[in-house]
Amino acid sequence: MDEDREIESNLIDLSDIDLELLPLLQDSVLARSIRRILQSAGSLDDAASTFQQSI
Amino acid sequence: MSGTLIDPVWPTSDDIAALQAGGWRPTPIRQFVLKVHSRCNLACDYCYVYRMADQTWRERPLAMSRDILALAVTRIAEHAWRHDLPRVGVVFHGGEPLLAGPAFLADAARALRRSLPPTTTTTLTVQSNGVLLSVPLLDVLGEHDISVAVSVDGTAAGHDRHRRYPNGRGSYADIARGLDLLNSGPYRRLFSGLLCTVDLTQDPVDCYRALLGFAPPRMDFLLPLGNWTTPPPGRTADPATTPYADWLTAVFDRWYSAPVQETELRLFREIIHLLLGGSSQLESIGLAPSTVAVIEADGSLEETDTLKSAYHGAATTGLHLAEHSIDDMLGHPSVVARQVGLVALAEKCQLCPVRTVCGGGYYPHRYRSGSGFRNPSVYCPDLLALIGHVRARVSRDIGLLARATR
Repeated sequence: MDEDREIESNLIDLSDIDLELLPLLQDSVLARSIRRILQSAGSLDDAASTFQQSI
Repeated sequence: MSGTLIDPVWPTSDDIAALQAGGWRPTPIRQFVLKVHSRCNLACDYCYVYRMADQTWRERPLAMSRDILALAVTRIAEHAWRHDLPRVGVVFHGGEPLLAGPAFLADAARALRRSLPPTTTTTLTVQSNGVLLSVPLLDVLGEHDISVAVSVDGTAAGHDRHRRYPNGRGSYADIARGLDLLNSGPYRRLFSGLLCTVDLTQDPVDCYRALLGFAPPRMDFLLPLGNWTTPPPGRTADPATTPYADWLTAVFDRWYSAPVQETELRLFREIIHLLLGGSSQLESIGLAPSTVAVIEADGSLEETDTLKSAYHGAATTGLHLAEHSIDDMLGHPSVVARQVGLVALAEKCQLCPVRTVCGGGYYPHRYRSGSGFRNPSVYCPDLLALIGHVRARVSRDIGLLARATR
């Protein structure tokens, strides 16, 4: 459990964000990142990694 | 096989049995790298296929035959049907895949789309050096919805320092012509993105801006392939130095600060996603299982072929399309090691506070002759510094956003 808390403390907590303010970030990197994490919650497809030598 | 010293094997069959007894199950392969041509028309000085430890290219046929292609399509389709895969990606790779010719690529695309389940979204991409792009070729790729990704190393001078023709002439001018064509009207939708290998001698922001000049929908910076036995350029054993983090953070700050995202930058995008609690979709960061299989020109089934940077035969599994299914790869130790997550990491990495983001770094970068792959990445100090920098920037901005609501 201590290890889980340690990992979580190194992650970034989004729980205090007012999502209604998200449009203020326009189409910035941060805005896209927040939208992506919200859309990916619980997605099984998200847990697979792909080849680095192609894009 | 191993390097100069004998590497310990992990996981052993007992290790795999224990993992399975503990509930671990393999993840089906979702991306297939088809080596449709095993030679190249460039002679890039850092190429992991020809210039590093592995020399198996010498044993391969020049190009994938129609018979091997048919076998590959059969095996890929079999795997997709068996596992009801929602998505399959196929990357035409090499050597230089465009040397296979447009007719071969068209036939491959046709056969794949005909054979894969109708419920499977199939994406086809050719990862090219870009010098052979032409209108007739792009017409064929467009007809078959094959996206085009190109390798460019930044500015003309920076690119031509490493990516040259065999006669020593730089390739940038030809690639720039090809990219201008790819960016024009009907072909723009095929443009998948750019890959650039980091060169510390090139100014990072100049490099990024040069790539941005081609208006790529996405790009990525690749750390040069190297390991503890064959260190990358400029990466000494001194953990206090972080030359690659310094380079990448300069690019990150420029990219992240844009009010409107200029392009998708894959490595940074995945680091941010991991820091926000997500899973990585890139094999070089995070702990998500690797779901990549390589099919060589002769039909050999191999692990991710950048392992060739470690030692001769490092990507070899001993499996072949004629006798083995893709499922047979899932029990191979090197595949298991790249799917099983944290337990495959070195002890130091398992105790590291950023382990779920770093994931131990890219697997080939961990190699050391005599100890195999259960080591930290040779880029460990850089990864720690880069992740710390990204975390600081993103958490600061999220903190400002939260405070604005109170």
